[in-house]
Amino acid sequence: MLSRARTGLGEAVEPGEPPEIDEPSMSDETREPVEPVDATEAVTQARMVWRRFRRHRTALVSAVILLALVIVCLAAPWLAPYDFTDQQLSDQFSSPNSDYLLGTDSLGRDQLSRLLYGGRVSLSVGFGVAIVGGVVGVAVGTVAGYLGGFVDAVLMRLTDFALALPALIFLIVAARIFGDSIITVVLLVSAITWMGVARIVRGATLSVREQDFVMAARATGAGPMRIIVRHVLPNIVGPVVVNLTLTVAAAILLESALSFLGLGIQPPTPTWGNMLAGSKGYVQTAPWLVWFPGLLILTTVLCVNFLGDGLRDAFDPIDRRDR
Amino acid sequence: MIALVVRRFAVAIPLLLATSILSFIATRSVSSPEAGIRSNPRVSAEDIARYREQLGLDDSPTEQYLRWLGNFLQGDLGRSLVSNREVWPQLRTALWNTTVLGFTAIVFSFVVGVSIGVIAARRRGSFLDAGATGAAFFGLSMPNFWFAIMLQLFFGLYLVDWFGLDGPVLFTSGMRSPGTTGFDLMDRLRHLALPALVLSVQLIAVYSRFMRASMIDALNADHVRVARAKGLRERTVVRRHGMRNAMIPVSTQLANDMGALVGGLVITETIFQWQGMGPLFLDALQSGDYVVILPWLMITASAVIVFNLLADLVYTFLDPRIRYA
Repeated sequence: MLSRARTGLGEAVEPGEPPEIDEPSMSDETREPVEPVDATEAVTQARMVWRRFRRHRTALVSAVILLALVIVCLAAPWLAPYDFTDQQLSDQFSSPNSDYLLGTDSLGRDQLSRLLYGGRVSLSVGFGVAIVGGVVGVAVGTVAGYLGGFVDAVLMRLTDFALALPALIFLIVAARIFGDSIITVVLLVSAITWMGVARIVRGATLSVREQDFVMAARATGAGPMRIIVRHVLPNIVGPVVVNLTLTVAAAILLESALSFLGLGIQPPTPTWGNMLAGSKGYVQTAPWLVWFPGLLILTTVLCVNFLGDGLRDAFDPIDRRDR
Repeated sequence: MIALVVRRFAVAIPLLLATSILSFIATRSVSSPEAGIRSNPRVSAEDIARYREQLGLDDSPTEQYLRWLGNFLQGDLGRSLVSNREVWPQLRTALWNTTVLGFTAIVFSFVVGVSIGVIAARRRGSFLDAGATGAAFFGLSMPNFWFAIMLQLFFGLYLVDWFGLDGPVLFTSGMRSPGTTGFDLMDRLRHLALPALVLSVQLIAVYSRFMRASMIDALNADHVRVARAKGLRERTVVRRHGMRNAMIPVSTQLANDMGALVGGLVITETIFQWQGMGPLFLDALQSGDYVVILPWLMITASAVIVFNLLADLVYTFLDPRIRYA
């Protein structure tokens, strides 16, 4: 709701530990209990991460639920009992029954079908923001961290500025100017969520840059691009992936908050957020219209957050639970 | 430290200027203050022209902005373009209402969150700790607007039905009962409770996680072991040697949140019809009333900047190891 979460408190604060304390460490290899390093090193790393991830039961269950949600929403055209725009005015405000499993809304549209199609939009926004924000964040972070100096100063002031903007206020104003198509909303939400990744990546780049193997690479004539792609990025996969999962959660919440204020993606395209917005006038007469979209948002965001927590443990070789 | 304060303000001023210019452009390009009049068929074209003339809407955007800025710097916020009411009294009332709500929520959340964090840290791995962690994840994942509606549904409808009450125990909208005059503390509290609770859910989650993490670190520190070894009571060890250090990160978070609260309650205030900064902003944006929007943004942005600075100062004050050059 408030700060940075900037979701109002706005931004999803990392659930784990305070950022001051939890500066993710990069070089997994250096601290990992000795594992045989050979030509299949990448596989080994992935396998180790997977092994640690599997131990995190909640995260595993969350991943399964999330995957199921994605599949069900993707299969909406085949699963949905009705078209999401079909109006049966004679059946408006039906409570859940055998014809309409989750009831109908004020225009007699089947809620289940709309939830399925709405899920496609809401989830796309979440993942879309993670992709766009991730690319921007990684680009800004690596360039700033690797080049340093003036470029770094400019990019970091830009990051600070973006961090100082209240996310929801920015979105409310920007959505009114730039419109409300899905693409626009993804770009706008990305514009307000890329900074976390950028900061992490910059910090990691700074420390990796000073390592001997980077100097060795430079000595053999590798350019900045090659060093960033081959030496820096592989070392920061963990923190970036974790941060991106949290970005998905924040994006879904921000999109639904924006829709809730009537400024996000507009009906008749359903999203979980604008379905809630459309039904807030009927809370007393048709509570099922409020229950289900909200429950879906909550479930999705909860699963994403648990998944992020599991990934953090899996990527971080220090087992925080034993500390 | 003085250098830090000066530097922060030096950075803040261009930041505020840029914000005001951008939001001026944004507000003016989105909607126009005479839209409401224009939609009324009885208002003639001449009337609209006179209206625009009076408000100076025909001047170039640069002139309009500079005129606003000049007045603003002299402390004159002017009158709303739409209602013609003075802006400052409206802002002052909204600011006060938001502060009441935000402050209540934040103090409540701080006390509850810190307590949960300390208990969880001391009984790490217990059922209680696991429960607190799970609850925090719920709090962080909760869409607050949905939670608000569910609370309204629960208190306004379900509870009343189940127990056959005459009215809701906690009111689901507004700031006081209609028709009441004077100050009735109970009535105010019953209106305050639900919106404050909505805000608290996420705050408690954040504070309890922060506190738990830093408390674990604090209790593992050497000086705590020494304190135990020399035979201090556990209570003294936890309070004097553990909590005092562990509170530092949470306190800075608290200061940051206070700054963010001023403009950050838009959704909660809208749902509960709390006459704070949020509804004022949405209404003014709707009607393109930049005379209201700009000072609104200046106030909320300043709050963020000032409280962030405060957070840093609190940090140096609480942790003497940290010094800003």
